[in-house]
Amino acid sequence: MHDIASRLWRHPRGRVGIIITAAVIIIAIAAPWIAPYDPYDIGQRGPRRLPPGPGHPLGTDAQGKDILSKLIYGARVSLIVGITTGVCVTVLGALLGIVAGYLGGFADTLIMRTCDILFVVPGLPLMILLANYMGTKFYMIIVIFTMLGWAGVARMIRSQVLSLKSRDFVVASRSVGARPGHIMREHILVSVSPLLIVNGVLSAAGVMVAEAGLSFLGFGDPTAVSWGKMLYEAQSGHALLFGAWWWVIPPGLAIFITVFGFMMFGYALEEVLNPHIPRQSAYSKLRKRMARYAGIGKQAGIGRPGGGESIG
Amino acid sequence: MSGAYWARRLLQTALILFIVVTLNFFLPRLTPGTPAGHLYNDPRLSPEAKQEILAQFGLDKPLHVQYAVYLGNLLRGELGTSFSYRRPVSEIILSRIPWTLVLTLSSFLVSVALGVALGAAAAWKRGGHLDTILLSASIVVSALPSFWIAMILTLILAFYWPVFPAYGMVSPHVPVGWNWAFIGSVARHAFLPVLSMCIGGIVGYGILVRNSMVEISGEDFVRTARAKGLSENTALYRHALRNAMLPLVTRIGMSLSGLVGGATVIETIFSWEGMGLLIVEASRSLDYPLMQGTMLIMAVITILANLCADLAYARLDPRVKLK
Repeated sequence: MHDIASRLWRHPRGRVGIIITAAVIIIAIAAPWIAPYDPYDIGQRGPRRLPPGPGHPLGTDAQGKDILSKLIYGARVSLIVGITTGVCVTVLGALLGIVAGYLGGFADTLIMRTCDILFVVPGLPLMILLANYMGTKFYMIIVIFTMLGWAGVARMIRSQVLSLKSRDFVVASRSVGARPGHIMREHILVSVSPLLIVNGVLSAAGVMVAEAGLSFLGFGDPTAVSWGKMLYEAQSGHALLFGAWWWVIPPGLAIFITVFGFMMFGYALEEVLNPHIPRQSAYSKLRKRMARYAGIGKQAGIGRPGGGESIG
Repeated sequence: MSGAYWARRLLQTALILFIVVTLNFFLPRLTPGTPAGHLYNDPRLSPEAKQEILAQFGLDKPLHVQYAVYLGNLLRGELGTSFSYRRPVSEIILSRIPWTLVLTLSSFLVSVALGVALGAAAAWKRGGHLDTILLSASIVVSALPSFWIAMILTLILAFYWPVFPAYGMVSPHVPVGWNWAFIGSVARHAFLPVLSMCIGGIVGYGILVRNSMVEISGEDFVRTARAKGLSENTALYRHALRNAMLPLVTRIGMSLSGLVGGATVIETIFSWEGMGLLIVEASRSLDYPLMQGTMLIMAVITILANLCADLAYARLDPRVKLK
């Protein structure tokens, strides 16, 4: 554990990722102490659409709320939704992927056909639809993202399990009478866990962009202060017509920096956790990671812009 | 590609279609509160009036009858009547599709053309400046929300340097029709949304083609092409690029569905009244027939596009054996 941490720290991208991620987490936790105002306090009102200046370092929005304070508190929603969904998607996907791959038969057919359906249903409209039916409290957003996002993980893990199934150590374990539950837990799960950890971190990054997109469309938690919702308010409050750049630029930069930090952390983690991958040129490694990231984006229901349907 | 494969693939597609259609019917009915609840849950309404509203939308019959009616209507192309527009859903969708296509088709064509050129050039000089820029851009673009890019572009090109309109599809007072004033006005309005969509698109297609090219250019037939003295351009475009196109075909097949589905977020920012904005509006006004109809059309197009992509892939790459 200590070894992994120190190798991550020595990895250039890993260090960037750790620093950014840690900084955002600290800001989120310390929000009440570092934010100049409380954005949840309805009474707090300053002059409206005030450009940055003394008292309001990043200016105010159309309600006279301090933008810096909203920005600091917004880290909480992004992180909670991103990290929780990353964990849930990975756990559910791993569970179903291992069961499908190891047991095969009817369970496999059922799980994989469900994946097929999830892949063809347009992600964003379905998300909006579900948000309508299930409500938009932030835990519901997590449930919705998990429901739509597990399929990609399950498919990836299943293909891993299929190749692990015939490896010697699994065959040996089975031949001495180990039960399927034991093999799946002790051998298969342990073997795929590095992949799962990396996938979880990168999923969290993807989900944070997706959450911002959903909030931006006005389907986020109405009571929460989040970066996506700040941009939604900026859009519906005609920030662009007033040229209120201080209202538009900070939330987008905050999303970018946080997601970038998680991606760097994930990429570094992947290199550190998979020491058995034969040495490749830096570029082909980067390419593989990129390809995997693109896939993860899709799982979380975020088609990249090239796919026409883009949410993030 | 055997007949048996075709039959199985078509059957599979039909099954998925059926499941999607069924889910589309039951999803709103499984959740607490009936879809049309807000229409008749007004306490001032008399029970008779309530009954009448239910009957009007066919919600007074038992669930299995409603389902049969729904399936029957679908087969006749009937998607129901929108709560908020009081017009047939199919009519609304048909009127929105051309507007969406203006945005999606143009950004799709630009993205593919520039993406392929950029990706091929980057891969050919691996590790060069262009390659490094493309790789960094792909990381930046995947961490940047596309709607934020669009907002920043609007701020620059519509506010500080007002060359393009910030929103809308056509200037008022311009007569609708096939005249230059109208086409020009639409083009001016479409510029910013298309540009915002292209940024992600070009990088996305670029990185796809680049990766595929890098893989291909290590293969024997490319080395042979170069060794037998073909010019670099011939080796690149006639030999390597052609084979590197295969993943692109799959991606294009997948994005075909996006062409009609529209770009929800971009359309919302620019008040572009296409399919993407339609589903947002339908959701905001809890217009269930409209939501379901839009979802269904998008899902059906995605399913069919996937089928086409698979078949095209097998046709282009004889090594793919479809079983």
